[in-house]
Amino acid sequence: MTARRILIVDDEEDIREVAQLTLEAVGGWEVLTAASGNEALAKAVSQQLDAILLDIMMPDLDGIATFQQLQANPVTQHIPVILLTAKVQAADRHRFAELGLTSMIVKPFDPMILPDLVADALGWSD
Amino acid sequence: MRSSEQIKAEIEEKFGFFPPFFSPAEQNPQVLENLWQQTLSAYVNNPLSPLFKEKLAAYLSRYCAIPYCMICHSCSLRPLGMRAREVLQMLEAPPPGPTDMNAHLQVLAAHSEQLAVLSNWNSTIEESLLICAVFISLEGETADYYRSQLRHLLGTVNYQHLVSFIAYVKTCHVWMEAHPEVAYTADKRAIEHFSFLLGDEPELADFFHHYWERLKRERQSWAEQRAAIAERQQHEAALRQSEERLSLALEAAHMGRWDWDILTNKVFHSVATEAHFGLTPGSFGGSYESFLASVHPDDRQCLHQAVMQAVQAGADYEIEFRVIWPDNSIHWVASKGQVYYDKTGKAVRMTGVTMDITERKQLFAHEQALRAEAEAARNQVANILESITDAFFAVDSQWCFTYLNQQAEQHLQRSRAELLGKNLWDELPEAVGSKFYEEYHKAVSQHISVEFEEFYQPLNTWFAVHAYPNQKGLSVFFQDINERKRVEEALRQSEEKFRNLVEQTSDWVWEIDTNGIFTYVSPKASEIIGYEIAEILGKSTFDLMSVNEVQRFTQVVSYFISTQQPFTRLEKTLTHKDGHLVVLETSGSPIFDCQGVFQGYRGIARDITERREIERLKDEFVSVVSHELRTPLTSIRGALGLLANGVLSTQPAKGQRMLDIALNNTDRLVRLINDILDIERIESGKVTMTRLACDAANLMINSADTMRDMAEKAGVTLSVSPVTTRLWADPDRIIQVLTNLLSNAIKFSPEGSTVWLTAELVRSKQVEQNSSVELLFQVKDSGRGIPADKLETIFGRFQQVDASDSRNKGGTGLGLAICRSIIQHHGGRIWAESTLGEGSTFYFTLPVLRSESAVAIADPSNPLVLVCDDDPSIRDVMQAMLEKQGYRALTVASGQAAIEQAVAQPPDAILLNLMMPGMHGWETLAILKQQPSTQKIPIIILSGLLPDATEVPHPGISDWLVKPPEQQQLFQALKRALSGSDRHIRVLVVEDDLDLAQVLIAMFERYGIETYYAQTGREAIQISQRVIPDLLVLDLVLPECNGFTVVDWLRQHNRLCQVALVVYTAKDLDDSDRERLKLGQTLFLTKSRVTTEEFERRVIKLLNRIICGSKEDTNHDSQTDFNR
Repeated sequence: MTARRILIVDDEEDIREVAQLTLEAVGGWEVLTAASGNEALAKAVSQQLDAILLDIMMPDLDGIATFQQLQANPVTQHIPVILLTAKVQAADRHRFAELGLTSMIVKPFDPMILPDLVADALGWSD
Repeated sequence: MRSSEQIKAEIEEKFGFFPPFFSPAEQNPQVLENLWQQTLSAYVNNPLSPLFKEKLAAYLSRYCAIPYCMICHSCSLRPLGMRAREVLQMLEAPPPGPTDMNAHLQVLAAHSEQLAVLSNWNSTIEESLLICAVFISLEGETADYYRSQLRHLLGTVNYQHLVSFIAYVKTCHVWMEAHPEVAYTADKRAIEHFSFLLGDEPELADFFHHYWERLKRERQSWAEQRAAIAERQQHEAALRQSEERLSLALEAAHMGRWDWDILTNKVFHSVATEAHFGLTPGSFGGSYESFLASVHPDDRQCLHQAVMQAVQAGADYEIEFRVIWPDNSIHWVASKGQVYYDKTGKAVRMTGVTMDITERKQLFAHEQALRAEAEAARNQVANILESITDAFFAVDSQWCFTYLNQQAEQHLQRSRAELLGKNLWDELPEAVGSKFYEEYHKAVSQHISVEFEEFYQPLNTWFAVHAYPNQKGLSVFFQDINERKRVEEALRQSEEKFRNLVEQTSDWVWEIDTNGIFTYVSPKASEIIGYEIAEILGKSTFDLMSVNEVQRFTQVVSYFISTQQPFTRLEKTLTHKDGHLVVLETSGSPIFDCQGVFQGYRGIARDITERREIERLKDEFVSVVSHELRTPLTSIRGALGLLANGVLSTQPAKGQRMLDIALNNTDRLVRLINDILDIERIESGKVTMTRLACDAANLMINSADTMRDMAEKAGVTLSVSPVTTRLWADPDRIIQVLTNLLSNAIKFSPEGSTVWLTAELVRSKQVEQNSSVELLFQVKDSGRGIPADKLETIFGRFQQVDASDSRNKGGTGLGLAICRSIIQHHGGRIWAESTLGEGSTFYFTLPVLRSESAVAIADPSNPLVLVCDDDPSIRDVMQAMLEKQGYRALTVASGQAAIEQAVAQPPDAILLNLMMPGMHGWETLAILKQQPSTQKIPIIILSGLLPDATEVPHPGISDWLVKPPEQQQLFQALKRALSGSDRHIRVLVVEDDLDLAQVLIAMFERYGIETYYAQTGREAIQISQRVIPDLLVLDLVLPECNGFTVVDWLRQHNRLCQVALVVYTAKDLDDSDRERLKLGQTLFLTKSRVTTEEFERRVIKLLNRIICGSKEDTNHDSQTDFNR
């Protein structure tokens, strides 16, 4: 099994920490974190990533804007993005889907199944 | 003239011989010729049958003294076919009576058709006719009647033949009797001729043998009969003579006369009467029946009845009836008659007159027709007037009713009988002077028609009236229009209701035509989108939209409009005149006219801009809260999930880290939830601020102490400068605000810096409290500062300057929002000022409680309230509340002080606490109620305790309030307590001199005394009854009842006989006057001898006596209620 590299983007330090530990310990993946959208964009370019777990509600550059910039950049546009959000309104889902964001994980999440959710969303069969 | 020979030759030629009958005339050719010509015409050439002629001649010859005629004619019968026996029977037959006549007339009548032609006569007819002829020949009493009957039956010509033959026979008899010399020869010849007859019938011989006796007998009875008749005829002639004179008179009057002999049923009609019946003279039948027969069948019964009633009951006979003339024409006859009775009372005769009234009847009929026509025309008008739905009446020039129809009767609720001929204004007096009166007079005087609508109070009815003047007076048509008025009113109310609804509703009501152009908009439209109504009308909704919105909304509504469907709650965005966008929610229904043609739409538009904004904010808030809550939960859930599943069992350090994360986030979640609930409760008003009088310094110190640990941890110095100021606030909440602000300041202050908490009194900047003073708090830090655009928004929810602050600084994002709510609830303001990089200062203000010095300036006329409470804050609060309401307030801290104060300066009421150290409330109450000078003062208990419901309320307590008292309850209790002692002194000044009266009134009013004024004695009595004055100032010389009368009257009334009196008069009074004028406490002051000042002094003294007396105060000198 090749170790996957996942970038977790969240402005909440505690959440980054818990999520990172979860994906590492339960999923057995390699995890990078970013505390803001800008940091995420920088890491997406500089690091080899298999997926990005992206929080939406962030100050300055929020999750949507970050995603749009990732899409705009040919270097990063291929990286699959999973939204990590507390927002559950149908209107939001619809809006995100229109933007091409079909994968979504709702907070709070169960750490034991988070890696499975990610794998399912990305179509990772292993 | 022929010679006798010539005539004789002709006779011989005719008969074959010259009969002896003619021989007496042989020598006189003239007589012979006459006799022969008569014989020829009446006998020989008479067309009656030979047998009939001979039979009649034979029979009648019985009465001839010369048997010749009888024998001659009897012999003639044999060759004509009669047997001898039959001849004898005929000759012996007794003469017929009226009974036979009637029978035979009936027989003849039955053959009436045959009678007209002689050749048709058969033996039956001839037999009956013979008897009738014999009867009429005998000239009986009723012969005339039967003559006319026979004439009627036979016709005039045949009758003439008959009667001329009878006349001839009679002439023959007379001729023969006049020439008895002929008789012998004649008799001899007759007997010779007769022999063959005698051979056939021997009894004939016997008949002729006794001829003389028989003749004698016959002639005698006939003669007697004739004599009786003659006698009567003589009477009748005399009668007739007088009647003829009558007849002449009647004739002149075209009247006829009639006479009915009831016994014989013989009726006489005069020529004129006959003419009235269309008969030629003498042609009337002569009986009642024949008279009746000529009467019109329709009138016959009635006529007969009238006759019978006259005959039997003696009733007046006066009748008009129709008769049918022989030519079948119908004529009118008037008849009048009288009945005569014999001695036994039996009706014997009836006589009277007739008159042809045909012409009159025709004239009458014509007139009647004309009248009927006029009547019909009138009826038609009346019918029209009756059938129209309008009520109608007409009055003449004297305003008297000449007509009113049924509707008018109904509407006026008066009958025709009541009103016709009566004067309109007499009958409807309530209308005099009304609009009806004015309009009718206008119509008549200006000769114009008027129409108007008016309510007629007495009938409680609205009438619509049209009145038309005419020569005779006025015609008035009117309708009850109550229903219409009711409908109009209902419509008007309904219209008004809907207009009000439309105009008052917060929605914009609109109508558009088929082109979408506004044809109506309610005034609200102008408010909503800023354009004048006139500007909106003529525009379409699309004219008020942005281009994009036009496109969008067109798509939305096009379906509804194209299908003419109603639509509901469509959202559209219009552009306000000032440019901002207005979101409207509009609903509409298509309008169709009565033919179902689409006319447009009608509906409402609701301004939902604000609602949309609120919804947006709410959604945002929910979204934010959801995020804020989920964030710590995510950490907790993740951390605990990993721990629970033992994932980290080999990594204890990481496990511990996860526990810390979970714990921290749990704390954060708790704070967050508390704050969210808190702000919701404050803003929804569910949490009330428990305001107390509190000291600002205490609050500041208290808050600083709470935050000192945190400051120390942060390495921040806390500098507090407490200011002692009494506040009216909820201390816990103010501390919450202060600690929140301090906490923020500490969080954002760099280590080693200082946070300052200060306060200062400032003049309020708020207009409505322009003279009041506020306390301004300041919390100042030297942190990073707040950008200018965030200075306002930071007081919103979750509006931290930096979103990460809540995590980093442990805030919830709700602190400042809560602070703002609390301060606003206290009537204060909160704001922030900041310089980026240098620091921020948060300010808030609170109203300051008014200081005690305010008591000094209180209006001394206001009620004084003594507050007794050991708790200084209660005293402060109560004082503030009372003074704010305009009471003067004194505060004492103990029961003992309360008693001392109450004696020294009796208050109008005392607010008394119960639980006090030293003398408690109950003791204080008892002492106050024992002392005469304080026992009347109402006492209100103000306690933390509830009154014991099981006990009878203490009689000395006027009210019981529980702390903290509600303002309203407190002042109501005070009002109740004070009303008992709040009695005004009333003075009535009775003085006809107005100038003096004004001086007196002004004087009393200076003392705040209620003053009434009467100019006359009568007014004085009236006002006294009404106000029951405490004092009367009375002049004696007054118009309408002098002062003595006033006093006499007052003395007689229990409630007034003890009223104090000041007699103030120019008159010198003796003792008896003084005795008469005594009422209650009475003072006599003489004008001009007493100065105004003296008057004032003495009257006020008297008033004070009265008041002290009413207060049962024994110490007269100690109190002066009225001093200036």
